[in-house]
Amino acid sequence: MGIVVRLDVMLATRKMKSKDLAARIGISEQNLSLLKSGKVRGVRFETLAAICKELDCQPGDLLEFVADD
Amino acid sequence: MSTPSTSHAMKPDTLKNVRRLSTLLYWGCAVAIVVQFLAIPMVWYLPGWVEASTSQMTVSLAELHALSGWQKYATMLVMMIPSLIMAYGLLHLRKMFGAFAHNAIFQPETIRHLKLFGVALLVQTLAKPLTGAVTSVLATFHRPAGERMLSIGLGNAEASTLFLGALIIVIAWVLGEAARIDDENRSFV
Repeated sequence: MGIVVRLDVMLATRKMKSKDLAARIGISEQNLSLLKSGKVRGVRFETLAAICKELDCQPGDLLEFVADD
Repeated sequence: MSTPSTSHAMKPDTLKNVRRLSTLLYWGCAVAIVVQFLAIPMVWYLPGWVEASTSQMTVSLAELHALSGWQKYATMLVMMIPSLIMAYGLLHLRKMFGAFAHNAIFQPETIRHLKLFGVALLVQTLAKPLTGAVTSVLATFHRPAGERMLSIGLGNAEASTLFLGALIIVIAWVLGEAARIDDENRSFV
């Protein structure tokens, strides 16, 4: 499985819409949607920092490692 | 996952200039392709036009005009081989400019067209002396033994074109890497 993105959980916890977060951190809704679904090859530290700042959380709250077996 | 690569990262003015010039060159290539097809037949049918272009030929214009029957058409066909190779290369160059004009700059397919043009340029340059030699044999085939000729011509122009062809291929490889990096960069958020 590898790295699982828990951004949707954090958004629900903070009661924030994807659209609003995308606007606040300056990335497109499409890219945020790809990030939420884990369909990206990587996340820039800059983006991660902006998300953590807006959602008042740590990178570990957004990303989780799940072993394959 | 990644969207088709356009040139969103390019400066708007640069992109505008690339698109404008590429559109112009797209049609320029079309004209060049037509010229490639017409150049050799014009040697026969418009003798006045070709005086300046016969310096690289291995047989004289008079010898060519003296040909008839199968020799004439075989010689014409052999002489056309480099032109046909170049027309193929120009067709790919035209496709590349067409893609540039439609914002498809950093795409593997676009860069493949540039590479194929470079390959065509190399092959055409290497084919020229060979077809020139065959032309000289065909043009003097009807002569008695001892007067037949095998002529091979190589010059600085060929060396320069080989260098240019190799340069284009190397640039296409580098652009291919740039396209791959661009694709990877776009898959990061």
